[in-house]
Amino acid sequence: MVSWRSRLVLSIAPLVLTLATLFYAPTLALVYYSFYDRFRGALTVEFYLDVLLNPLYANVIIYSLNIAVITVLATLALTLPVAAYMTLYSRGLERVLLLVVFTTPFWIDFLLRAWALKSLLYMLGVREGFLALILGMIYDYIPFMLLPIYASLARMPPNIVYAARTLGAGALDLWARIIVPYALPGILVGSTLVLLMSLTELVIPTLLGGVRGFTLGPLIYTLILAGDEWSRGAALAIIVTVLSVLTAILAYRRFRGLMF
Amino acid sequence: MISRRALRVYTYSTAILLYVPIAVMVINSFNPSPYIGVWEGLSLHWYQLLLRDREAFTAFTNSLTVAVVSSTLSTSIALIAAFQTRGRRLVALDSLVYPPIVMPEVAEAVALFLAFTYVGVEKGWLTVMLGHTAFNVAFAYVTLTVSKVRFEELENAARTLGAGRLEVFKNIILPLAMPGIVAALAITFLLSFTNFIKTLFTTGPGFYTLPILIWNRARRPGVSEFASQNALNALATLVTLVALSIAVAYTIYMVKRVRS
Repeated sequence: MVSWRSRLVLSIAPLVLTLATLFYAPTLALVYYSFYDRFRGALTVEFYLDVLLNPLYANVIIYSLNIAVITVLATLALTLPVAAYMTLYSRGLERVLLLVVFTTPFWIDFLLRAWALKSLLYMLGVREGFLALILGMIYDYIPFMLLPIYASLARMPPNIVYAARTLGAGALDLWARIIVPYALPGILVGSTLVLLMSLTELVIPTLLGGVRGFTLGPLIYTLILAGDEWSRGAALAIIVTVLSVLTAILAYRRFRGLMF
Repeated sequence: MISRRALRVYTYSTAILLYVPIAVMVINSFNPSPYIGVWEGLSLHWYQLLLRDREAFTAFTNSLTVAVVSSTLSTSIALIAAFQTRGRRLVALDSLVYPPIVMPEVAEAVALFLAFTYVGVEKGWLTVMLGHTAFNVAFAYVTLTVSKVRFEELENAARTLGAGRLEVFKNIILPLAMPGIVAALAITFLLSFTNFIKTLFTTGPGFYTLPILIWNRARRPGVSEFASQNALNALATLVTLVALSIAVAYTIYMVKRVRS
């Protein structure tokens, strides 16, 4: 009889091996190339210094951060009332239908939705540029902000709004002291998600940004696939990853108690 | 208090706005003019053209074979592990599984590109499929552990009542694990079928999937008859239809399971 322990090891071996060869080894290759100068055959930190200090790259990073922050704020402002309506006023079938309507875009790819929006903007006379880029970001990321907020608000005790009103709470009190605090964990999860995903977005800036579309995603794409600057591209990819991991850890640590 | 009616109007308008670009895309795909905004009536012109579009057909079969193989492979690998961990949460395994889900997609794609280049394997179907499998195993494993796949009390009860190993597997284990397996297959299939960024970085000359083809044509609409704006709308409509029918089939399956 094979022991439980060795059966466990045998059965998780394929999973661990797959992850090791197809995720961890490539990640090591990424780290290696970010320090390795192919043309001189030496290890160096110059690519990190270059990417962080060269104003050409730094500007792209700052521009991408700006766009990501605008996307977060806009999607937040747009979806909070929707989440509030769904949890406060919708019941039964209406709520199920609204959930279906707002989750279905998840199943349709970013690329297709960006293309669809591009067609619509084209008809409306909005050409590629900053406005189209921001609209594309908002359009694609609304579901990612809405669902975490909805999930947080759904945990709000059902009668709390009526209780607050009976006790004399006005509109401002209601939003500032009840809805927003209850939505906070979801706002945090949604914001982290949208910030990190939009920061390295490739499709929307390329299709909708035009000359204003040179953000981090297209920059990494250009360095690696169009140019031959593997090491700079790798260094940028690692910086973005470190940023993401730190943000995720911070958000998780700070609000762990609230989220789960 | 912002009135209930105002919130409702706002929520419904947002829901409708989310679908306007897709509706415009679908309507335009029936417009025989190659240009968006020049209305020439309803026709199936672009769908008839699609039947002769060899590139689109190749792209479709490529997407399909990659998605079928990658989703089956990763669900099987994850299932073997999930069966044996039996709902126990292995912290060590979890911390191996989550990084592929959290890491920014562009960084993961660059890592795969560098690793495949380093190894020297020719980029094409195999590298794309392996690249998809890298994150699909993680998603499949998480899906399978979230939806419980083992019910040991029932298995023990069946054994006590005299059922053989095979019977237990056929009549207890498999039917109860089915919803998790279907969910993992559906999610990994769609992730792979619609994946763009990892495919872009792991494919080589001559191998393209549907998202890659749409990307190439969307960046330079109008270079050929097949790549005209409304021809692309027809292709995008079909892809959206495939994704949505999988989503609908999946939802119906889950609702039926919950009912029975």
